[in-house]
Amino acid sequence: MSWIFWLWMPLVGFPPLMVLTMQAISLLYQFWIHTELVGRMGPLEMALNTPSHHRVHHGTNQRYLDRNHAGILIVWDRMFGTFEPEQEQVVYGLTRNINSYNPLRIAFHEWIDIWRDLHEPTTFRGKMAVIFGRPGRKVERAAHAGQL
Amino acid sequence: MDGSLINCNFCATLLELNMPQIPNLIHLAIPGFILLLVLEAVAAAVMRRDLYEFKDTAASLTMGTGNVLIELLAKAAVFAIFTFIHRFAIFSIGYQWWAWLLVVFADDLSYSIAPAMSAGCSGHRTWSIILLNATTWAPRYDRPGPEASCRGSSGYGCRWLAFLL
Repeated sequence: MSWIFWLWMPLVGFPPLMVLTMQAISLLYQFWIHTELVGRMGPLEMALNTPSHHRVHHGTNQRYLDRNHAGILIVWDRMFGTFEPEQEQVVYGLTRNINSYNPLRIAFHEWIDIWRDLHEPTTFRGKMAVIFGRPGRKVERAAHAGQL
Repeated sequence: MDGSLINCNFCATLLELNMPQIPNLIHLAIPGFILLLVLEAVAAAVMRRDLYEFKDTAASLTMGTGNVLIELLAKAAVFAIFTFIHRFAIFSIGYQWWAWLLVVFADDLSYSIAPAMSAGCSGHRTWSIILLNATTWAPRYDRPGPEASCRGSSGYGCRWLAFLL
């Protein structure tokens, strides 16, 4: 469904095939930034999304969460305040790790989690909150109750 | 079947896609992906750095292959939608060099705002998965602390939205 964020482009007038081709180019670019072997790249770090910036994106460190969403250019994150430089050692993974190498489990685990969480609340309102509420709800409530 | 299924306009659009116009760059790049993967694995071994876990790599490659297969159909559907929208295009843009330059920035902006808008601003985990995918995004929002929430217009996602409006 992410294509809805690209809908404005054919509407402005970009040829559909050009938009799809550019998406493929962006994906190709992002292959090489998934590495731990490349350190920092000097002045390139200012404008481009680099391995260093993208390691932060995949980090579970509190300060690295929801940061560096960039594809090719890091400038958007700098503009919108979601940029974080790589400082402390990155700890990869998810905030709640899934401990599975099963591709289907990896792809659908969050759906399964929602389904499970749905059984907890007894009220209809509570169930709606599970589906439409913020993902951090459960953790927040547990923290509030002093369980964390 | 009486053939009515493949006679519909939508299916015709899908079938036309099988005629290559711009080569599928991802498919062309697959040998390059494999070469770089092997190079990195060799470099890691030489440098004695523990960068690869066999099971993890296998899961990743399986998902990559699955993604390529799913995208064969998904891209065709998206192309059909884009083509429909393009009929209402505001400007007439062709394949000029400046259009390619512009499209780099336009695509990258779309890519960067997608996660913030679908998960950051709405904060709905179901929507985050529908709009993007569960694997990379949704669980990352599952955390305690003041930053976990995007109530009303206070979250960063809404800052992105405000910029666009």
